Amino acid sequence: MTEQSAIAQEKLVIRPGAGPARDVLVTVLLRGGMDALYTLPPVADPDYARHRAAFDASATNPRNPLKLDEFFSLHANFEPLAEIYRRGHMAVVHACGPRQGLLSHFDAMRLLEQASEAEGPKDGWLGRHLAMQPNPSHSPLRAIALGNTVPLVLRGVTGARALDSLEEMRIELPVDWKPGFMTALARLYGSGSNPLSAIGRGTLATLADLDRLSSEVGANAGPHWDTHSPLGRQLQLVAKLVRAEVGLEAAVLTQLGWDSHVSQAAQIDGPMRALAEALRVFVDELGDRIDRVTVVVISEFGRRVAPNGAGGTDHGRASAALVLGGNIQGGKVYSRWPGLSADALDRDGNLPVTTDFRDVLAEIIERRLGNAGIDRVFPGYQPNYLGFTA
Amino acid sequence: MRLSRREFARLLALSPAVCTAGCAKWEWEDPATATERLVEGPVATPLERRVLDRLGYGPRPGDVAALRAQGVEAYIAAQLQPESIDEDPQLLAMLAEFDTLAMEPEEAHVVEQEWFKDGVVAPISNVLFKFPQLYQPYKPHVTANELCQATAVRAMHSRRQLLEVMVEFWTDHFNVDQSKFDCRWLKTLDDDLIRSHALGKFRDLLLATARSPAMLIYLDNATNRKYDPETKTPPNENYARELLELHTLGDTSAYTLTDIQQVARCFTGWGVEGEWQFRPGRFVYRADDHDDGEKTVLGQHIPPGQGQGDGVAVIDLLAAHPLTARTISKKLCRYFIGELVPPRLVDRLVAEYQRTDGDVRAMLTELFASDEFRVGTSRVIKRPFRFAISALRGTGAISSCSSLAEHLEAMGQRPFGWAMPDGYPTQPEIWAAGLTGRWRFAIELANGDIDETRIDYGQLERLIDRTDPAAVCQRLAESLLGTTLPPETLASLLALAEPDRRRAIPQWVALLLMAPEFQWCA
Repeated sequence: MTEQSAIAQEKLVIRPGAGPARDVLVTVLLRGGMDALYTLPPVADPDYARHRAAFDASATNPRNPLKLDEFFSLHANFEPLAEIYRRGHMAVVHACGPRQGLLSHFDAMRLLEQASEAEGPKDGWLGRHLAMQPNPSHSPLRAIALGNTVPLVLRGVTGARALDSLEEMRIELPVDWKPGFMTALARLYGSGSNPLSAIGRGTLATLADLDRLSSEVGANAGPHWDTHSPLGRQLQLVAKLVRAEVGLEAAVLTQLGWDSHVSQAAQIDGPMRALAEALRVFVDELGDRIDRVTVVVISEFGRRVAPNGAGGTDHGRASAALVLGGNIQGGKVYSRWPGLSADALDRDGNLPVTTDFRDVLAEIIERRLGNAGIDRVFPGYQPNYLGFTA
Repeated sequence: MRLSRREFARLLALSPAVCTAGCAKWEWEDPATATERLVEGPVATPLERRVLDRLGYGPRPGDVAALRAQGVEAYIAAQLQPESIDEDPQLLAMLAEFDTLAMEPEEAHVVEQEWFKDGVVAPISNVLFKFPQLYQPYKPHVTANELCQATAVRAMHSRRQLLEVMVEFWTDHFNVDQSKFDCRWLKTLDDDLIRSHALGKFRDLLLATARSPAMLIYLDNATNRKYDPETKTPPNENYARELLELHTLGDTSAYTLTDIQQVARCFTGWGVEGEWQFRPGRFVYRADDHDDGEKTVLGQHIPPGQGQGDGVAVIDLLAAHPLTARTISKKLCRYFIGELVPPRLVDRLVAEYQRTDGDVRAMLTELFASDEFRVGTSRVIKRPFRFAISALRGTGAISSCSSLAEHLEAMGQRPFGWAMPDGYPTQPEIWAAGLTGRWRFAIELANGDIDETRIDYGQLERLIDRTDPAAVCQRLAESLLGTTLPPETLASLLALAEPDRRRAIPQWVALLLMAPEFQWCA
């Protein structure tokens, strides 16, 4: 890989410690619509049992030790999050989501990622935030999407890239190929009007940087990762990048599998356990660095309060957000709880959104990421802060 | 369009000897794959190249000469009538190797159960993660793997290139994730339905997918029953919602949640034989589960007592809706012309849809004849599937495609592996970020590291022994990229030819497949 390193020196040098003097933001998008009444049940709500007791018997077990407070519980599958919550490093924002209440996955996901009004900007809120920030390090790892594609939320900033694993980012050349091969590749991407040219140059720089990184921190794998979970593997990579101080500012991860129309328990037990375990080990792995990281977990909508006939739930409105980090006033549920009575639900039987998800994001972006221009990240919206940032 | 196994056998008997003793089935001797043609024959005009890149999966060595001999107009006309094109008998022989491809549902069902009796875990895609408790004792999944492999083999070798491209188009439009329950094997039957209607009337395709067991399971209509007063359970809305939003109308402001719920009522009782896993795989209408009351969909009254006719009435209503014409027209434009959709062309396709009752062939005829297509106003990125197939075709590689699904998964586009119902995206900015996977594939392909796949460099090696390396390199670039290399780039490639010219050839091939120009359709 020596020729790659040579290219890196030619193009740019990433210095350790080149990261921002602000938090790294890790965004986890739960695609499909997380049922927060199931994952974070309001067990003390007088109408909860009527709707949901038969659907998830474990939640109403009086010996369930996973209480968030006197009102809300944590589903048993989220057990790995209990300790983080008790330590005060995790806050729950319940009855949260896009206020418009669109029940199409695509419209709601677009809303979650664009976070703008109908006539507003078409790029993503994270892309808009990053585009407003100085970028002195020019790190090719400044904004990454874990996986194969860059999601809408990162659109609006140049240089955001998809990254799945350090291993997949290695280019192994056959032994008898010439050292000039990577030089020739750089030349192919070196000029011309092709829209991929700049992306290719960035990719070459990333390759060289990751090559250095994997030799520096590659041996230091996490303690006990759930290798079956792509999310766990990807969060491990994020932790490595945070610790290596390569200029990472924002990472976006996506978890599928929450669209539980049928046999909900069977369908989302796996994703729930994977999410909770991945977050717990991520926090463990970061150690003191958790003070420099904020994680936000959001989903495009919740599920209908009444389960359907297939042991599942259909698209609803409010879900919940999780916020994790060393500077989060955690151990608390931030909620303007609407209640589950017939009067409280909307006319389709859905839990209404009482906290716009932009309130959560805006507070993080202003107070933890130091962006004073919130009105440009969320044009036309006046956020109300919940006060979960320290 | 679908051939039975008997027909395969008959065609095999007619075809010249495909495989001689000692050579695997995929290693056929085809003059069209000789890499000598990479550096022979005419250079494609921009239009010729666009036709080969967008109506198909890119040129093989010799294809430009064949296209020029036939003429662009005649070629397009023939591609629009795939039944008029005799299929390559060697392809048919290869497809005949896939036992599960042409099975009737009952037979496939038995095979499926046999395969699932015992064995070890080898999940397709990320099913192990999504449904761990369901997939513990399973063997490698033969039906799903054979469909992925057959899809790649068809794209690589079929003479009916446009048909394959349109099957891919509809596969995304009517997305079914193979990793959801019985879809892993029912997708094979679903693929047949799409294939037989790909260039026909949209309404027929829509109805076929509405009754496709894979779709019924994927979008949960198999569990859609009339309101149950005991459990207070309403009908399942999932299929109804995606039918309106993704399959037809597109514009979510054109209907309400009430419309979705009414459509869901119309499709109550449309299901699949059997109960849960291992259903026999036939569509069934269950009158007992159907809500036979009156409904109103998009303002249209549907009288009570119509039974299965309710769903058919909804299909007819949606297929005739102007917004559906617009959805399909825009999507075809985006697919064949690029993200900058020309509004006037969309209008013309909408008019063609309305004039012909949604005839896809008629719409494509208009599209390919348009100035917008001929001039090439916008770029179309090769998604990983097209990138990989066009690399195999462009280099004259021979391949069984047996491991292609794994490579495509690494590049982000495993066939039939998109979880959400909107199908794999087409936007360049989404795919542009994944260059590394493509580069790795190109290096492995050029170096012969992909299973049961090889490029025969013999002709090129003999050629470069007696020819100026620069001329060979430029001719390769013209063949793969449609353009020659600028001097500095050429020099960097020629540096690889010292001192051993022959060793430069696979490196040049890899580099040209990795180049930015190769990632786009012409």
